[in-house]
Amino acid sequence: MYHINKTEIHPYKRSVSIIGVGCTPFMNTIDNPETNGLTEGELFGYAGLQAMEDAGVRPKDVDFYYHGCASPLNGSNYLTPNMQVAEWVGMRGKASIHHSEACCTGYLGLELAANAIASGKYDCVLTGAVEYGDGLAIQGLPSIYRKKFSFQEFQISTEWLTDNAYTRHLLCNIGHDNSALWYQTQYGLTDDEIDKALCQLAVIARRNTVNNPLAIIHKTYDEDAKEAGFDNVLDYMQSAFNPKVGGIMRISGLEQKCDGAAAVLLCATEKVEELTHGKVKPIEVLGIGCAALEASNPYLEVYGTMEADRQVKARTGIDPSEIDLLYANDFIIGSQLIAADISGYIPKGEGWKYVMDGRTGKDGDKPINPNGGRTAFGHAHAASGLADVYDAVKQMRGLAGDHQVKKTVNTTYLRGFGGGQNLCDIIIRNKD
Amino acid sequence: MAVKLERIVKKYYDALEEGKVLSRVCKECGSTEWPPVMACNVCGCTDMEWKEISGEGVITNFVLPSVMSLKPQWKELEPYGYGVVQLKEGPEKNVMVMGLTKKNEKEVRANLPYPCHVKIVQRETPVGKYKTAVFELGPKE
Repeated sequence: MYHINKTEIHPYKRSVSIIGVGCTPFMNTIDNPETNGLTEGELFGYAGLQAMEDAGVRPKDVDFYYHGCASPLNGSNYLTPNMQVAEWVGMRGKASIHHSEACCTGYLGLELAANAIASGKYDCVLTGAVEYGDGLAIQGLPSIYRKKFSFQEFQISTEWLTDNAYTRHLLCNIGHDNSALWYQTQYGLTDDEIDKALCQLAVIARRNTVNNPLAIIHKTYDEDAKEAGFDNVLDYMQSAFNPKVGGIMRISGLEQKCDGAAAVLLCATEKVEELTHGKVKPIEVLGIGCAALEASNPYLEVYGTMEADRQVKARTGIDPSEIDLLYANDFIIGSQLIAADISGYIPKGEGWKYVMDGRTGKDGDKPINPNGGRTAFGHAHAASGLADVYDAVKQMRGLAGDHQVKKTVNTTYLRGFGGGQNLCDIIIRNKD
Repeated sequence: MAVKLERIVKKYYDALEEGKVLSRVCKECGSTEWPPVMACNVCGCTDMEWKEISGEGVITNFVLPSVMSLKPQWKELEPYGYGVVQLKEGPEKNVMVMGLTKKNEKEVRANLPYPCHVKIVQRETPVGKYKTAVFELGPKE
């Protein structure tokens, strides 16, 4: 293994808690007459104001906001996109910063907001993200007019994630298979075993979203298999109906790119009572570990997750047995196996067996991504991390509705990943 | 001050035109940076010296391209796979490995780490041409 520089993180200067969450449906806005014409301001505004409503606060109570967008120039024809939505959250005049870390943007938005409060500078901070991953703005026309972002165009745009001095010109494209390849090699799975495990992950993801109103997909692979004449859903998943798009990965293991926004409101824990008049039960941010590895580095997701996990465990002292629920940003579905393995949520090397036994579904004893994750809930790139935090908070409050997990959730671990490539491991816990 | 503003990337590509693949070696800890950068990523030292790499390496893992990862713009380089390669000098990178096929996949996988060597190839694009370094299956001749 190559050398990776390490960081020791220190305790927050004061405790930080989540007090409100908001999230739009994840959708292809231009495909539906009722959503066609929605703009960045409306999506960000809805998510941000919903987070404030959730906490019972008004925009005047919020000191600062962070705005995330993975590809503002391509998707929205925006530079300084935080300014383009400023008046949609009722915060005219208040300061903000835009940040962009591709698929890890939302998770790092939580990191930024937590740090801003923990430092003592601000008491209450909104962190939100909006992305048009499917409907692109058209230069010269108001933002109600958009054009479809084809998968082929999207593929070309992902090249922008890698270094243009060297990495693009090493002519490597191992990214989609890198982590699955590591997992397969590390634990000696046969080609059929890793294939089945990745297929089963996709099956579970879709089962999780059937009744999730915010998810982009509401049809299971079980239904697709039945319609295609298969009695066994895995036979369908391993057939030509689900072609391989990489050396290991099939199309079912790839994100459903879409449009959407999400936001989270954070507050100094010592100020929650005063700000929310005792109406909100805070969820404390115990710690966040971060790492980053450029895309030419082998197994970057694995090694970056290890480093981020090491940091957050050292900071919080949390034992894996204390983790009740896991989220993994799985725009490549094998990420669930990596996050579960490294976080210790599932014993080393056992994750794929837990998946095959259905134990990682929302009704299982080791649920992962009960919201459906990137392949079924959808991937509005920057917004996805905050959408996961949204779902985690709902699960921890017992208010996730039809996709509420069966176990009590007090401690949640979220593993963010993306942006060519950032890793961000977050642990949050119900306060008291 | 040891750090200098210099055209490291341009020097690398210029050397490729002359058939050489360059790295930079840390004078303090001896680590090799390939492709070359400004500071050592092991000890952080900025006192680096240029050195041509041996061109020898091993593939430690790989996948073969499929629908989404087979690039039409790289057709002249087929057959190829995507490999994790470690240079003799130490650096590990995700790189293209020419010569990997479905036919030899089993044999290569059974004999990992499998030897490979650097190969300089000409890239022709609609906007210009340049040489880059990829890898090829088998030991350096």
